[in-house]
Order: sequence, then structure tokens, then C-alpha cells
Amino acid sequence: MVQLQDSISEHLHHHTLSNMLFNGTFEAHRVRILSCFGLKGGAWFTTRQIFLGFQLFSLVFCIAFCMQLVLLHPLIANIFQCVCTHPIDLMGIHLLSCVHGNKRIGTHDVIYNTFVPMHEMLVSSGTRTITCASFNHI
Amino acid sequence: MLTKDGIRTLANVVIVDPTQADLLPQSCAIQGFVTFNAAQAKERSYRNRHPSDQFLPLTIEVFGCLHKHIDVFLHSCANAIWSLKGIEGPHFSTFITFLCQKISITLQRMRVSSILSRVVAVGLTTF
Repeated sequence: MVQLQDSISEHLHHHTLSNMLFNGTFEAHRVRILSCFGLKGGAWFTTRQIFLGFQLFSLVFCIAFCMQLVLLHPLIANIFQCVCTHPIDLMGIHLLSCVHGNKRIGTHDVIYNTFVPMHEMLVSSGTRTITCASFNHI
Repeated sequence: MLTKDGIRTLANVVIVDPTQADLLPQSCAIQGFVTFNAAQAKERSYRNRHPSDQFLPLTIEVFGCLHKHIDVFLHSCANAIWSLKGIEGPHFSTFITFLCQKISITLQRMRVSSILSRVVAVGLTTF
């Protein structure tokens, strides 16, 4: 199963990079392709969903797959304006980079709360954490 | 953070947008340019740290590309898990793969969350 996923992922890499990256795409879309296929950018595609934390629901998988293939998702097909009154392009890139609301901070907080306490617990067990605010006073 | 052997490891999580208008010409030519740029900016802002400290800017692009410093961070975590569980051999790489997949899946979920929140908000205000 993992070998099949790897071969599908390899074909997706070949298809996307050859047919979309070098055939006159816009700069923002080219950046999106490069980022999706960057270092560990497609790690979600080879995940075995054996734990609850590794499970991708259908909507999440659909949007992630459309992002990986540089396709337009039907959810954002009829939306022309963001809540910040910025016009949305066809690929919906603005929806990920909009500074309105707390979603960008939320992504940072989720990553921080997942990995930094884990590192603290495993590597530096029993020691204190120096936050950025306290680090400035050293 | 403080490690067991007394060497401090300072980590800073940064989520960057690769489609910034001022960095677009460089980022569309070089893969991972924005993460590299953000890591350098964090290095400059933390340049007054103690020389013996280890600083790891964990920069991640919103589309999924990771900076190479995350490998160092995950390698230390996987090494600790490996030493705790006492598993030998190739299972060490499995831990690193699991941690990378966890980061990737977290990014996918938060990406969908940010899209859906704005779509629902726009739908409520316009329709």
C-alpha cells in the first residue's frame, strides 16, 4: 500500500511539475507549486492513517489534493471577495495569506503547542522553557 | 529550552507566506527561498544570544515546504524517542517520518480551517 502511494505520489510530482510548472503559469501559482513540492511538502500524502492524529477527513483531503494539483476547489469557485474586501483570485491563494482574523496565528500556535512541548518533554525533560519575552531580558 | 547536558536550544516557530509581493520574483525561482529568508531574519533578530546557545528557526511555508533546520529539531526528538523506547535500526527514521507527517497534516487541517472560515464568513455577509 505504501509502495502504491509512493508510486502515485511520484507520478503526481512528474505530472504537476512537467505540465504546470514550466508551461506559462503565473508567478504566484508557480510559487505555490514549488512550495507544495518543497522539503516534506507532500508528507501528508504518504501517511498511513492508523492514528486519530493522522486521519484526514474527506473535505481536508479534497482541498489538500486540489492544492497539490493546482486545481480550483468548488468551495471557492463562486467567492469573489474575502472578508477583508480583497478580491480573490481563481486559485484562492489570498484565503491562505489573509491577515484578517487569527488563523495565521492559529497555525503557529498549533505547531508550537504540538512540537515544542514534545521537544521539551523528551530532550530537555525537567528543565524550564525560556520564552521570547524572557529571552529579551537576558 | 534547556537540554540535559546544559546546552540551550532556542526554537522559534515562524509561519511564512511564499506569495508575498516583494519576494515573489525570488521565491518563484528558488524553492524554499521565503523560509530561508525568514530564517535569516530570525537569526539577525536573535544575534545577541549566548555563543553556546543553539538557535533553530523553525520556518514553515503555509503551502507545506519546511526549512532544513526542522530536520535538526525533529532529529533530536526522534533520537530521544529512540533512546527511550530502545528500538534499534531502521525504526529511527520512522519516528522522523511520523513527525514530518504530523507537521504536514497539521498544516493541511489549518489550511482548510482558514479557507472554510473565510468562505463561510463571506457567504453569510453576501448571500
